[in-house]
Amino acid sequence: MNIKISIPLRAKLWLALLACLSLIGLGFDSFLPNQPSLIRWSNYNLAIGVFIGVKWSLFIAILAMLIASTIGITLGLLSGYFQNTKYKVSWVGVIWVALTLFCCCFYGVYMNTSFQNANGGSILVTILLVIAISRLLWALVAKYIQPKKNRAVPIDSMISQTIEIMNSTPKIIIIVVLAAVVQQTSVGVLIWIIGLTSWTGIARIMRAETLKCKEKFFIESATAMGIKDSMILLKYILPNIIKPILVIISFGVGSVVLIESSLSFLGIGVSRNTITLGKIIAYGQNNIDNWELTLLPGFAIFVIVYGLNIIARELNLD
Amino acid sequence: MLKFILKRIIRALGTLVALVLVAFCLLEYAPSDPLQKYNGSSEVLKTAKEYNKIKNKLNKQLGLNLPAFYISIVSQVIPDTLYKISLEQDQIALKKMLFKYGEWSQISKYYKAYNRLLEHNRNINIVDKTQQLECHEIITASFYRQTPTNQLYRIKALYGFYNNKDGLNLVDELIESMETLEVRSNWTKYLPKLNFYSQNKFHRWVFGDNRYTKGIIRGDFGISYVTGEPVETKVRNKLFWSVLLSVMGIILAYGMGIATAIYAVIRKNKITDRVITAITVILFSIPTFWFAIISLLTFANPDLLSILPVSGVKPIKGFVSNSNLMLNFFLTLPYLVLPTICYAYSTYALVTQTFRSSLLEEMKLDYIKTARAKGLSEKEIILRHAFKNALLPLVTLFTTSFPLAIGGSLIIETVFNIPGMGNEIMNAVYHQDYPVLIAFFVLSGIITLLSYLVSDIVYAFIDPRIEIEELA
Repeated sequence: MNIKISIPLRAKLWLALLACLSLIGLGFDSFLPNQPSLIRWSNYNLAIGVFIGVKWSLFIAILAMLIASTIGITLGLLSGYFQNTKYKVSWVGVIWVALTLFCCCFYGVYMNTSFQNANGGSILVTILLVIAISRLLWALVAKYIQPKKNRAVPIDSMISQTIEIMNSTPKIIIIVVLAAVVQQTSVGVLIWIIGLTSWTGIARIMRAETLKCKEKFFIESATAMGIKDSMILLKYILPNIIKPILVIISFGVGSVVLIESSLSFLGIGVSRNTITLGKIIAYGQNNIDNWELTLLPGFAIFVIVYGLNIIARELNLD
Repeated sequence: MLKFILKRIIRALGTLVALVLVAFCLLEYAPSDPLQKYNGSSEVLKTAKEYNKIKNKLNKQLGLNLPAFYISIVSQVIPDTLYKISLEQDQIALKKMLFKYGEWSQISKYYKAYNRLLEHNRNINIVDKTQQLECHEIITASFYRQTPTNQLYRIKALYGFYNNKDGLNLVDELIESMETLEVRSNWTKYLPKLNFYSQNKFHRWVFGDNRYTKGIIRGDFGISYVTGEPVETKVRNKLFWSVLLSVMGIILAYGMGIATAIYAVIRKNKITDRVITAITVILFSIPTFWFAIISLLTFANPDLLSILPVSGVKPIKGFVSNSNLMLNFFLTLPYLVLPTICYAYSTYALVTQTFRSSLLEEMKLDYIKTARAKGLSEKEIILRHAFKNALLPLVTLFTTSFPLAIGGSLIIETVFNIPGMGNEIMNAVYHQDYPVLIAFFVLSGIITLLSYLVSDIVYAFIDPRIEIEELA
């Protein structure tokens, strides 16, 4: 696999600037107390606070976008490539998958959470174990119980229906309600909530790109050569749509920075022991005498998002 | 066309059902136990009579003693009637005990003894209420946290001091039943069991139960945990300002956006065009709440410029009585100027960008060349030929701007202190008022779905190719 992406100069410069900004904040965590109200806001402290905030914003945004783009790209590729007709399974296979899913839910989630104190590790181990056993059994018995006739699975419709359900409520309301229901406030939880709610746009665009790419000649020849579907997806289609992926990711990171900062401005989601830009602004809103407390962090958010938008535009134009 | 509309409506209904299910799950898993608030967390312990009264009232109002859903898949050791215990915390503790000891009969004996002692403790009449509360806490800790039995001897000492024979007997009974609990290996706990319930919380929540709720299908979202008033009156009062604000914002954003885009296309490749593009990118990147605060600091600041009011929606004295609607509107207008601008600017940037690029695409087509060959001016070509055809992407954008508007109101209403939906959502979040929160969740979902539906149908009317694609 040989992918070469030429990144335009302006995009490179902005990337370097953002990286520098977040790296500066890296060592400063212990310099300030955790609550904006505890800090004596001298100019020096404000600068440190802004750098720490920038670091956290980018950290949360990039990790959340990693989750979102993993889900979005996978689902988009699947729905664009297989559509409604191409992926075929026998009914025995469907039942098998349903049973495996049921076992995952029952033994992995239900048994672990309602009888013992829930532990993410044990849930994951149980689920992996169930999947492994199911795979093994399937490999042994599939030959004997699988009927000849296969039916198409409407992957495309299923995924687009899921996207419609996700889109049927404004994203920020979903995030606020989820954060209120989960009630734990930590950076990790926030990353998961934002990541799990913002994949729909990526999936949609990925689907369109995959559809476009699928029509091309080399995919047809690869199919004619008898290459497996998974190989075609990974080695032929994915490298060819890497550019739109980069564009969406850099747009997406920008929008997540906006969402994160507005959430921490409202006081939702971000944990008590981190200083974020939104928190500083919320504190500055009530202290109008220190107007630089509102101006500077907001300007930092603006610079980050503007830089990311410029990167995306440059990549898109190129 | 009819077939397409019907199909689209059915799909929207399916999405609505899924949305309601998700909302119910969120309401069910929200970490709030309404009964918990009355269960000894207050300074003075309630007597058993008071407590039971509250419990029965809440059971009737909220259906706490009902199973969650039509079907439930649980482990074999869980008894069929566990859901009848109203306290969620008790259910969780009992499940853990069931898994450990394996059999319901011995645990139910223990649980009965525990409840008897708790009730007795509520009823005893001593002067020092803190001691009573301390006893309550020791007893509940022995159940919830499985503390060793020697903790209960402290209660025995206290009861002995007051010469409370019944209480001593009950404590002895509890200690005995705790000590006789034995671990019995029970492999059936690893087997699933399917239960069906016709009466359940979901059914009650959606369709109502004829007496205490009407169900969300008739617009009854339950009772606010905090203020105790019905959620729907709360919603009805708040909806007006949100809708007014978003309608004004959308009109402003679309009007200005379309005009700017046309201007930019007329001046294509000139400096104005590039400035407009740059401004839209900048507007995109400004955080809404920051923009709102900065505009407040500039235009409603006594030190700088004090030309607009700071917050609220109407004059502090209220409207003049027996004044007409028009006058009221003009009184409110200055309060809405800044919120509307904050509402509109990001949508404005989006509209400008989308419409500009779609106009530019349209200008490359052949019929525009023909129009040029006829000798029409650039302005005439855009307004009379390209404009109508370039509007299509805006219809799609319009659907997404509705949810954006509802979401955006969350921040703007908090900053400007407008009594709308967003403000109420934030209040509900701070007070953990889940019924209100879920009501707004469902409502915003319904509004969004309706706007999607309408725009899809409008789109199909404008561009019949869509319908064919959809039905194929």
